[in-house]
Amino acid sequence: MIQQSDEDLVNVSRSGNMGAFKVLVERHESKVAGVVKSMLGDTPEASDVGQETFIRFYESMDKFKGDSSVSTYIIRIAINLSLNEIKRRKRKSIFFRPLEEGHQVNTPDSQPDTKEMVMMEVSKLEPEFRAVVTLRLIEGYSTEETASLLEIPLGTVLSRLSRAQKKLKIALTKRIEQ
Amino acid sequence: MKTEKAEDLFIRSLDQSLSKTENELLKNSLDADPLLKEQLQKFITTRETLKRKQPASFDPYFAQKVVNKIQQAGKEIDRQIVFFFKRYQLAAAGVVIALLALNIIYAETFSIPSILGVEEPTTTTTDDIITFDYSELLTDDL
Repeated sequence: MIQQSDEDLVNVSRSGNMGAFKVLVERHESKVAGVVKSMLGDTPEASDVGQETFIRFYESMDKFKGDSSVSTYIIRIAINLSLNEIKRRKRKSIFFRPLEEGHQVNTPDSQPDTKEMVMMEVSKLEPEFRAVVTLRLIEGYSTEETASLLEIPLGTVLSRLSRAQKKLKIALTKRIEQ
Repeated sequence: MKTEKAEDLFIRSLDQSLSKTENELLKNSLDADPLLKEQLQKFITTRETLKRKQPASFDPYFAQKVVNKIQQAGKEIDRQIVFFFKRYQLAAAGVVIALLALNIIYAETFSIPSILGVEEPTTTTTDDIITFDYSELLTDDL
């Protein structure tokens, strides 16, 4: 069976075919999950943001002109919604509790492994740095793709990457020394 | 070359190609200082640790859940549209009743043209009758 392209599926979905839209969701779920979970941690909100991403895409399908790929369009929505969620968490943490990060905070009994430790430090980065690290270092997009997804200049991506890695180095060194 | 500068060059080299001069500078720094080389190697290790090894996913039946939500939201939108019109229909009916009431109070009539705002044909008023000169009629007859 010939696999339909994303653009074809979008066209069919526009006419109200939910089966075609479901195929689109299944096709892009993994990428969206990767981005959203890297940004927010493996939390219930991450799943909500994932669902919201596709709902927003469904609502804005008529505006989709094909200037960028379907994947780019969906990931942009996912990133923006994740950034909104981070802002919401920050606002919430002002009134409720000081620490409201997505990644699990370990108790003294359970020592995190290296990957967990690095992810914890990533989750502490400012949102704009976290977005760049997520796309470039975790999800493996090229610097050009990262710039295009975040709609920022390539130079900004490179400088944010550099600063983020230095911040991570300092934080990880402190952790190891403790 | 300073450690900081070497660090900058090293990080940049991981994401973009350096110029020939920059490459040489970095190579010389790393060759001259094995400790620095070891330190900078940690950036590569961190990046390797961060790289996603397995595809991510949401909970099972994720796609179906999204589709269900959209369909439910569709019904909600329909309901909102009906609600929107009902609300505005009620408001419009209220305005019409208020206008009718005002019309009855000020025009002291309940005729269709006055309700519609169409001007009624002018009728003879009492002033017209009083100012009419009947003597003219009498003279003509004579």
